[in-house]
Amino acid sequence: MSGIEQITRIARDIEGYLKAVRKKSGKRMIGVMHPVVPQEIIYAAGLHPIRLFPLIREPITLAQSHLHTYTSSIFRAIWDQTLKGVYSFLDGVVLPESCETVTFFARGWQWHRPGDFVTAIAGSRFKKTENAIDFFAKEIRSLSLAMDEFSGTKTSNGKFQEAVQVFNRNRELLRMVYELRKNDIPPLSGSETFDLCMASFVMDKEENNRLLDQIIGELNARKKGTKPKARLMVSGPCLVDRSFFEAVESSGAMIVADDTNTGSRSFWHTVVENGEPFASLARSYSTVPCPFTTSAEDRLRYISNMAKDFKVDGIIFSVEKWCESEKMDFPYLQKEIATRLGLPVTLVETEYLGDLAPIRTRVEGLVESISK
Amino acid sequence: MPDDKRRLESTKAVSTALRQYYKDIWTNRPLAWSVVSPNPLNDICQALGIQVAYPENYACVCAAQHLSEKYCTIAEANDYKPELCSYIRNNFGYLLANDKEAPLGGMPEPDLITVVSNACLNYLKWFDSLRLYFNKPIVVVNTPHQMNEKKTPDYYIDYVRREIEEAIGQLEKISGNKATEAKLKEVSRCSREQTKYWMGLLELNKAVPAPLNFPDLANLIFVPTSLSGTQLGVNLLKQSYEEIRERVNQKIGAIAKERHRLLLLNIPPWYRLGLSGEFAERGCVFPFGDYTRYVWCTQDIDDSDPIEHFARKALGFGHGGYGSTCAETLYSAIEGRLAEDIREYKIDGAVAQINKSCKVMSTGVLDLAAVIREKFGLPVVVLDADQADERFYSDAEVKLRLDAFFEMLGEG
Repeated sequence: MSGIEQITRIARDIEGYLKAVRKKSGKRMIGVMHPVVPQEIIYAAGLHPIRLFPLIREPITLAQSHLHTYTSSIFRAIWDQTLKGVYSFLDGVVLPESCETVTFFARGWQWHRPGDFVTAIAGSRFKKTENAIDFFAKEIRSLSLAMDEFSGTKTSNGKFQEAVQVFNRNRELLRMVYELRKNDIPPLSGSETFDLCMASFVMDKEENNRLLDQIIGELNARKKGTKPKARLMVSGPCLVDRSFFEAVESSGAMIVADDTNTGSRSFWHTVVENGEPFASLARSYSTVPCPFTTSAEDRLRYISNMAKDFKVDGIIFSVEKWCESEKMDFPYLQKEIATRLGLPVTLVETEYLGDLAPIRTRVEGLVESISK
Repeated sequence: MPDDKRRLESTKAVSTALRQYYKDIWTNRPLAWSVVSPNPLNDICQALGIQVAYPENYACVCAAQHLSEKYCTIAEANDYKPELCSYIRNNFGYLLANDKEAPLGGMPEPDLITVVSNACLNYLKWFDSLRLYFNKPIVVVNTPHQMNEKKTPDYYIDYVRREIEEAIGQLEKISGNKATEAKLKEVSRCSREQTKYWMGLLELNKAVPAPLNFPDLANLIFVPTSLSGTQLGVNLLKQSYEEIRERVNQKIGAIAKERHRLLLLNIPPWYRLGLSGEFAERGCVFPFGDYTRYVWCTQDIDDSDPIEHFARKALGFGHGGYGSTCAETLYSAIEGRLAEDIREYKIDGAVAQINKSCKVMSTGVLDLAAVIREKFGLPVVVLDADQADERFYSDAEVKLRLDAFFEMLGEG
């Protein structure tokens, strides 16, 4: 089986994959929300970090009595599936000070599941001063102590350095895959990239690195397809639904770049190796360009660079209905992207298990305007 | 006693101060637009001669005058989506409407923006957007949410202290004034004094009958929110405190016949403050709510070191025993301040709101309603009511729910 087939298979049955891995490795698994949690700390403590996503496509039911419908449907779905036992392989969670729902429900998780290992980590909003980095480093140290207590180990400096190297390599390999998407005819579609990222966010990092190495070789050898009708970039929070990518690309356009929590924001940074681990991690993770840590102006810089580097023709802002921080930035970003980059922008609202028909219509309109 | 005589004399002075305040923001410079949430920058601005204006407070004024619907609609037409906080949409709608007849004369453009991150992320995003909208300098103080422990770790205090020190440097540069130790001590003293009076008057409201109802508290909250760090604020609260103490001595209640004492959870719908009249007709008074008791002036913080006072004031908003979030209130319902308050205020029912605009006050409110029902055996009605966007409020639905609630109280 090719590397691409392997990773696609994992992405399409994450629940089954993680159950099997858990059984085989015996490693305890810790779920994290959002790209701002330095997973190196969890990995260095001998645990298996995974990003949390809804794993099955089922309506939200149990969670409705804890989280009102004005909260993120993605997080509500995760909570719903936690209550339903879908994450039976999970041993705990790290919830960061991030979007409103996650920040304010961290204590709610503890309330409802007092037996779960739940810990939280704060960060710095917007500012990257030495004071802010120093605080974040102390929070990461606290997280490390919590992980040590949970795992019953004392993480050595060597383990931290090893974790940083493994994760740096992982981020580098994912960026190498993205590099190939700069080609006029990218060797993989947005939907395939989605699968590749989702699988990478949950796999054991060393296994994932070996697989990504193999996949890059396969992609370089792939027979060229046809030039896409338009090169699109997608910007938004946690995009967890493959059918969104398929709907967009059914227009003949291709998603060649992104600014999402489930895409480039998770691996565009590199951690300085062989440094003091907490400070190095703090410095690096403080650059993750999520709207809850980053000002609109800094986000514009990131999006602009991405759009230029990947020769993008238009940008789709795909924003979860209740993700206010993304929505707060939109009026400014839309105006500045039109003025400074001259790119068309469209905003589509998504919800967990939401209807894709209106999205398809909007994207077709965008692609037509680009093609003209 | 006729109802119009029940109005506190001291609230007239507060109303006069509010009108004067909205005149001052047009004349005093430099002018900062700032967040209300326990925000030490507002106290520090007083020390530096910087006038502060609050778009959040102004959104409440607009909502009370039924104008936020218009402003929210204008904002939405300009891509500020309906899911955003209604205070934010009101603010951008007001700016974009360019009204000549805005309530209380409106708000002049700022010279600078100041913001702390303790309340919610949306406020930080909002004020970042205002910075870009006006192209003015911004001063940000990060006050992380403490999410793990009850006791605030020392490094949180150190971090916020340094944030405040950096901010003072920036504000000195912008204003051209110096924040001397004497000035900082003076405003931190005022901050602490106001807290003492606010806590004191809420303590007095444990009396039966309650001398204050929710509208009185909603009126008075203007002082610690918008006149923080000022002697005027201290004087106003002192005057109110003394008047309320006198009422307690004379057993004068806020409503004619008090039969039920209710807890109000969440920010009230400012456009329906008159709803308290319907409760009063059924003998229901609201002696306190989480919004009036757990958000501002929640603890007496030593002011001998002003910077430490400000740091602890800002951090107090988050989690950690004295936190203002609904999640913290939920924990305190088992054993802690809410459990104590329910007993000491002799609460016999609760009105819990889900407020579309505010995750801080709403995430956990369904759990809280369940605990109040199950642990205390009290009736609870859950209402869906946005704080400032009247379009999301259904009179018919609220009436239906309240009718059932009043029946449970024996007031049907």
